[in-house]
Amino acid sequence: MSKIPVYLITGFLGSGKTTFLEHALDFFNGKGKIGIVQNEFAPANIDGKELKRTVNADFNLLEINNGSVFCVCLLSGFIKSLISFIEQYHPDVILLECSGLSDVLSVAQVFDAPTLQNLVYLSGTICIIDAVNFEKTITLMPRVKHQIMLADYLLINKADMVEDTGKILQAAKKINPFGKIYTTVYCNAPPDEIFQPVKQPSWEKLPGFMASANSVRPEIQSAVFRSVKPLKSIHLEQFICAVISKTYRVKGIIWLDNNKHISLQSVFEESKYAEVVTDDRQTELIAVGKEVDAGSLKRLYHFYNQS
Amino acid sequence: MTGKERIIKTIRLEETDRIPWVPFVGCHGAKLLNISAEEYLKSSHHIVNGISKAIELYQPDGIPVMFDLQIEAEALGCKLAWSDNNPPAVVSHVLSEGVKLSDLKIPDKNSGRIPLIIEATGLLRKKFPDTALYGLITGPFTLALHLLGTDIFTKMMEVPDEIFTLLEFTKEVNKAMADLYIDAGCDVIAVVDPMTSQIDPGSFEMFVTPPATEIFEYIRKKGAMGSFFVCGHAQQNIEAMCECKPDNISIDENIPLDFVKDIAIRHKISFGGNIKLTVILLMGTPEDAQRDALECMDLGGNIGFMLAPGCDLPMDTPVENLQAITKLINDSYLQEVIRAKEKSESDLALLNMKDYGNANKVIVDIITLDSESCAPCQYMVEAVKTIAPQFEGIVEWREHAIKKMEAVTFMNSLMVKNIPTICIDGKIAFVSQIPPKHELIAAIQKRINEKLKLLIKSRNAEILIIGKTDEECKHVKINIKQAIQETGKNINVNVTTDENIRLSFGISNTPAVVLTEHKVKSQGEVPKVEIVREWLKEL
Repeated sequence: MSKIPVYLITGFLGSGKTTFLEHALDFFNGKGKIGIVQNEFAPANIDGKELKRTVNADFNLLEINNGSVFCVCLLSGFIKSLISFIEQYHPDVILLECSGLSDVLSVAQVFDAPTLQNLVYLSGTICIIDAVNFEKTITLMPRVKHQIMLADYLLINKADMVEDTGKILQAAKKINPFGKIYTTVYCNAPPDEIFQPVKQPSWEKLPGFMASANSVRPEIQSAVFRSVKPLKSIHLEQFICAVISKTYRVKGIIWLDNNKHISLQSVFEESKYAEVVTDDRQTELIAVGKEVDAGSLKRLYHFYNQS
Repeated sequence: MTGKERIIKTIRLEETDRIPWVPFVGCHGAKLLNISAEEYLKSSHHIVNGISKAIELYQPDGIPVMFDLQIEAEALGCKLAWSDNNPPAVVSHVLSEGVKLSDLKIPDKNSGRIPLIIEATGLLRKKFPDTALYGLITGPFTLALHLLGTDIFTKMMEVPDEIFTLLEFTKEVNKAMADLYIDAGCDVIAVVDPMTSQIDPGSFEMFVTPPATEIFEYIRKKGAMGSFFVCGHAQQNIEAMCECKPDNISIDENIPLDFVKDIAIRHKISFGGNIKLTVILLMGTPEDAQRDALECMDLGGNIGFMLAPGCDLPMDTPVENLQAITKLINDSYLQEVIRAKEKSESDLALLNMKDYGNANKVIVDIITLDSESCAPCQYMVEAVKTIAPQFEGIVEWREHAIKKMEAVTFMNSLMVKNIPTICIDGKIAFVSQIPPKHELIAAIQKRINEKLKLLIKSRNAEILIIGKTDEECKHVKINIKQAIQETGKNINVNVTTDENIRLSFGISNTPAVVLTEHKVKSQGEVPKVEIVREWLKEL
């Protein structure tokens, strides 16, 4: 069985995650079995029932009402539920709507669990920004900022309800310079751009490269690496080169020993990085690639931190 | 020094004999009794048994009686969803269902599940007078969120006065709970407020600081100690948490421990944490657990630091992972070994040891920390040193002290995981234990015998020449015979023209030469004598 791509949908309470999910369901309808995982910090999961009512598409739903996947102590229960959900329904794609309070990285780290690693990989992260409450939430709710920083795609939603989205766009770019940003009303971003499957890099498409592999599709894996030690700034470029040589895609923040934070986004050969202003004091990377694992990222990080 | 004394001294920032260890056993106690989390958290009998079992297995200095942040919310009328392997979850929020705050009464010793916790605390107090007992209270902000739901975040911005009043109420609940736990015998009251990780320092100071400060003041006046627990990304609020003047703060893996240490010690507050829960304790091995715990210990230091997991232990945390930490915390020698091994982590290169041990002598390698400073290492080295001369030069021994990098590489290449270890001809023979003289002699003798057998076997080495006709093989045979003669080896030479044998080796061109180990050395040519001589070295 090929591994199942998982898309994380993040965003603060009321930003439009469920609306986005409806578009996503329309898009995936007829393309295979869809699995939806919802984790809302809300009574009796209103959103889940709402979805079943409003959407025509056929999907299976896993509701996680056990508080919120925000605390590391609750992740183990989440892993078990997800495995039995996959075993029961064999979805071809999973859309995971995080609670507005979730920590993206902790959720992504779940896919590194030995029991899940061979079933799923993280294919992309989409963050819905509530244009109306942006300014309040970004200052009062640190998690909102973090969700924006780590997203591959950002939707500045409810754009029709504010006078000017320019400021929001600028503020988002400042903490996530390389994420693709759409300004939307009812989350009307183009799903075919957002839900692109992870592509193989061009060098692996060369004739003969895959001949040795058994499967046509490479064994994609995702891995999360975090460290509370800063990287030696003189080794930043070497570290980035080493990481991208092992991965298809990398997204995240690197904390340097000169106390600067670097936002990194790389897709195959093309990598971009720039300084961002935050006080996270952590390095956090989400990597996708063939046989990429947290252990090898850790070894690289330590290697470049020596001497 | 008892565990309780160790905890008290640590909280007072006084020196102790070692770092205290506080495993947060909540529904993990249910796993120890092989029952569901629901059965466990609803019975004082099970809680007493579960915690007793945990104390027996993990020898903690302190332990919570119960880790369930839903107790107060349940007593105040919120509905819970129970689960077999997790604490329950609050699924209804009374204040968003028409109940008024003024209608809510502060829980007492008879509300909800409070009676069973009080009973369990009393029993555990009697049974374990030397272990610090932690009473856990749902902090004022998290309890407010349970009562109101996520509307709290928008209301903080829109109608802050409403939230101030709510927090005034939850503060009183906290004080009432502190009373009950302290009277039942708890030494430390932990105010657990994970949801504060969601807010910025400004909101924290405005909403959380006033009630939290009062709660800790109250706990202190009652003669107990107060700990402020938070989990999640609460880095931004550590300073503000310390300003609430708790006696201790406890954090999870999301916050760098050294960051917390700097702030806490500046405020003269002890701190604890932050062994990784999921990736290490739940999914890792005992070795992973020891490495991570040691990293925490080295960052935390000897003054004012308590080793603890970041939060409630996942129910299925393997017992051996926690026991490994108990062993580590009591064994400073083990700590040094792991530190030395850790240095090697980034050293990616390993030696190719495939052919190690094929020398004429038997090589005994002793992997040590350093025989000069480590007693077990010293005895192990001496044991080998004493018996080696008896073998009259056949046995050669070497010490590899892993304080040196090359020794670490050597150790990893031989897959040695414990110190000290004796390897004989590259194979692990004695781990950690110093072998009695006769066992060591027997092990070395066994290896000598093996080598002797190999030597005898090599006399029966064979070279096979495969051809279509005898004529084709003739010249090959002549060259091989000459090479054998020149090297003085005892090797049989056979010739075959059997087509099935040829095919079984996958040979298409003849004449071909095959050595004993089924290695095809040449095809379709007559090998020169000097080349054959090189081959013979392999036999």
